[in-house]
Amino acid sequence: MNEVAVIRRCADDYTPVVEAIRAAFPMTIDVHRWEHVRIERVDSNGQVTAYVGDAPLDELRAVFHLGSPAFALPTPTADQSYVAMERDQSMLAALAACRHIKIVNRGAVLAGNRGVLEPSGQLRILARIGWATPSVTHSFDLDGNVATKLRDPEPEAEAQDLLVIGLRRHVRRGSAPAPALDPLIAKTQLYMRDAQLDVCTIPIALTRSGPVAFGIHPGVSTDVPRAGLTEILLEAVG
Amino acid sequence: MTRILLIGYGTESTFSHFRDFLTAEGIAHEVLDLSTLREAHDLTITESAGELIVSIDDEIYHLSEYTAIYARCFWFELGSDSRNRALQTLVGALIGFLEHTPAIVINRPSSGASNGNKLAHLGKLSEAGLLHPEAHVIGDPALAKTIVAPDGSWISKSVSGIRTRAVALDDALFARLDRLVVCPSLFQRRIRGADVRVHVVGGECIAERIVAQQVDYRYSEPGIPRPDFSPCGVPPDVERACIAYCDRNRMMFAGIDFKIADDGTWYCLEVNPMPGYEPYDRRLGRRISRALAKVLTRSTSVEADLEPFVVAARRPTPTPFA
Repeated sequence: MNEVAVIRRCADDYTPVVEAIRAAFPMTIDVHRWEHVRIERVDSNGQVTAYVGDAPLDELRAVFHLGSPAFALPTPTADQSYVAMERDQSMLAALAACRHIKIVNRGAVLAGNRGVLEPSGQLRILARIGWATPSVTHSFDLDGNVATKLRDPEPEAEAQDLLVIGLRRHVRRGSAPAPALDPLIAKTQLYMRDAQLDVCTIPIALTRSGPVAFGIHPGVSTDVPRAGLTEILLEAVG
Repeated sequence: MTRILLIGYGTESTFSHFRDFLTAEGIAHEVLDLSTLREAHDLTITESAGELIVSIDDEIYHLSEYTAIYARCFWFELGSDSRNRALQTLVGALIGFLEHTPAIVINRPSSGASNGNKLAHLGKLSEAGLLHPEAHVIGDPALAKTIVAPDGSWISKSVSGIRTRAVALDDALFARLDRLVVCPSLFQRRIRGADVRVHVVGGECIAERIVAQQVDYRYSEPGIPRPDFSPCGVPPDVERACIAYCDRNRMMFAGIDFKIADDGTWYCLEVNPMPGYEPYDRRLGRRISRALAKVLTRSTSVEADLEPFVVAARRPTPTPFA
């Protein structure tokens, strides 16, 4: 019971993230095709017989679910869409039934927390935590097929930074001192604990009036120093 | 002051039914009609920490100004890529706002979201004390043949929230079990007996009993008589469990499907967080709409009404300057 699996839509999806997870857990099973999955049964009484690779699902130590294996088709047929949806929900039912394995970011993967999955909801969560957030205006010319998105403030390139936050640690892309971030990170960790999130990525900008956050994405970005990221991934699995 | 907003498609029967009810009762409300995006020229969405402003042509909605919102908010094909993208952005913005606004919301988008996975959903039912039929997600054809039988005692459904006509497993379906290698599917032990739909609205249960010969009474079948519908009561323990489920899942409105077995046991099939309640309401004399209106015209949401037993006046703030 010591293997970690990463489950994703296809082989091209989240490749840098999978590499980072492999750096932390060399025995990681990479599941990116439906042929890698075998769900024999999941029962309403909690019994599960399912495998990823050749490993029994309920004997894994942890799972990073970044999506379920699906068709990479631009215009799937009705049957293909249905099959993809049924596979995804079967995978999630199997994961939900495996009570003893760690599902990283369980709150986003299994709880159907749409508030944290929509960009608009993310900004409202950040604002409630105490972050300054931008206002966002989307304009659509519905006859002319023209769409624009404006953020205020729109950060200048040199002000943009990135945080990957775990429940106890965090790692930042930039190195300029930013003590104003510390209390915000602590409050974000409290939110994450409450929302059953183990690791989140927050794009930020360090403006003259203080830090501004632009989203809180359940999951990791690899655009931060690798050593710190590895520690956060180790912590997320526990 | 109460200010009610309805968000949905004016062309959709349940939405227009409730809108027309409020109008007939003289209850003031405004409507953000998503179906107008089929013909509109401009859409602007402005989001900030406590506000969402939606402008469709000349109609402007400041969503933070509403005290109560009834939402049937989902994506729908509008016929062109640009309009579809615009609608997708708008629905996303609405979901983000409705999840976090202090207003009364029927229902918040993540309330009752477990319904999107029928097997995981059964676990949630159990947690609230609702009995459910035995069910299996099966992806192995050989194993399936040892669990289910083509004798009408098993029901076939989708695992996901995609609306599916539930049917009894017969010889023809049994012969197709090899297709489970393509994707797993859900099999549920069939409960024979009457159906009951319980609508829970703000803690009140309104129930209708349905006696039908077909497995899924929502769909008519040639040669089978139409179902019989009649108002009914709900056993106190089932009522408590229904309300407990809604409380645990922050739902102010739910449509809960039951089957009553021959021994009188009530088995819950599922809880719908966005019930299409119109036909039940018409037969029940608008009781559901009336209860919905009562919830929306409350002065505060349950979550915002946090006055504790020890009131603020008994909790003076210490000051060194007295």
